[in-house]
Amino acid sequence: MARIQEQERPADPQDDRARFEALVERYGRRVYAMAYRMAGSEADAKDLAQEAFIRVWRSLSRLRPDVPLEGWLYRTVTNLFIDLLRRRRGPRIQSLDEPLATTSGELARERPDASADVERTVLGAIVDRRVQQALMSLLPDVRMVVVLADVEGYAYEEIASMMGIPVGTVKSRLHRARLALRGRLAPFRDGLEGS
Amino acid sequence: MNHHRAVRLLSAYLDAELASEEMAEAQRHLADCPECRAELEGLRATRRLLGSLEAPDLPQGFAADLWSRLGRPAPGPWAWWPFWMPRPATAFAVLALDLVLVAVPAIRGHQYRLRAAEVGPDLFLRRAAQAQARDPLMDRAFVGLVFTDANLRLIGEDPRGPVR
Repeated sequence: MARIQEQERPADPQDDRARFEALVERYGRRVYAMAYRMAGSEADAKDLAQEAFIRVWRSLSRLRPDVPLEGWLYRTVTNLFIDLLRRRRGPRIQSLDEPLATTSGELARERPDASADVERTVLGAIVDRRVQQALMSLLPDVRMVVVLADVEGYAYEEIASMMGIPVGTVKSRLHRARLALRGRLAPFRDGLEGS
Repeated sequence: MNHHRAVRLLSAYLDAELASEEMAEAQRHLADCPECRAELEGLRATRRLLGSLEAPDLPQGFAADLWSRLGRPAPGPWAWWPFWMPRPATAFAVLALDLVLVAVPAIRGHQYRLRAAEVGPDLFLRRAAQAQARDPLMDRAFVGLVFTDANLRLIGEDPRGPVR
C-alpha cells in the first residue's frame, strides 16, 4: 500500500497531470479488469475504476511516486464495490455468511453444448463469458474473495486486510466459491486441463 | 486428520495457506484418500482457469471520460484543506477588507476636519451641503437634520420640510 508522504510536494499542475496519466496508463487496465470481475457489467466496472482514479487524483500530492499503488487501488475498488452493493441492495450485503443461494437459476440449468469443441474456445470469449456468469452467480462478498485470490493472485492475509475481514473468513469463502465454481465450470476446466 | 476436515482445508492446502503441521496432516490424508485427491485436482483446475482469464481492455475513451469527470486540469494547492475551515488566504482577505472598512471613514473624517479648520466651519458646511445636494442617493431627511436653514435654502431645500 502506498504510504502517505509527509512533506508537501512542490505543486506543478503539468507534472501532476503527467504523473496521473502515467498511473492511469499503468494500472488502468488491471483496475478495470478487477472491477469488471467483481461487478459483472462494463458500465459499473468503468464507473468503479474511474471513481478509484478520481480518489488517486485527489490524494496525488500525498502518494509517494516510488511506492506501488496497486494495493491501494484494489482496496479502493473493493470498498467502492461494497458501497455500490449497499446502495443497490440495502442491508443484504451485511449477511455475509448465508449459504450460497441459487442467485441465478439459469446458470444451474445451463449445460454446455456437447457438440461444441470446448478445447478450441477455452481461452476465448465464450469461456470468459461463462466464467464471468459463474462468478456472478456467487454472493458478492464470496465473489470478491475469489476474484482477489484466484484472478488477481493475492494472498489470504492481503485479502483479509483489503476487505477488513478475518483470514479465517477469507479461507472459508474462497473454499465455498471454488466449490461452487468447480461444478459450474467443469467442462471448461477439463478443456483447459487437456490443452 | 479426518476426511471431513481435510475436505474443508483443501483450498487452503492448495494455496499453501495452512500451518506447517496442518499441511503435513493434509498431505498424509491425501496420500490415502483418492476422493480428496480428485477434489483437490478439481479445485486446482478451477483456480488455474480463473487465473488464466485475460484482463479486458479498457473501454474506449476511458481516460477522456475520467478527465471530464474530474472537471478541472489540476488539483488546487488547497485541495487537502477541509472546506469548512477558513484557509489562510481567505482569512487574510477578510482581515484586509475589515481594515479598509475601518480605515476609509477614519481617514476621510480626518481630512474633513482639516478642511473645516482651513476654510472655517460655515463655508465647509455650505460646500458639504452643496455636494450632498448633487448626490441623488442622499437621504433628504439626513440633509435636513445636518445642515442649517441657511445652507438648506442655499441648496434649494425648504427648511420647514416638504410642502403638504
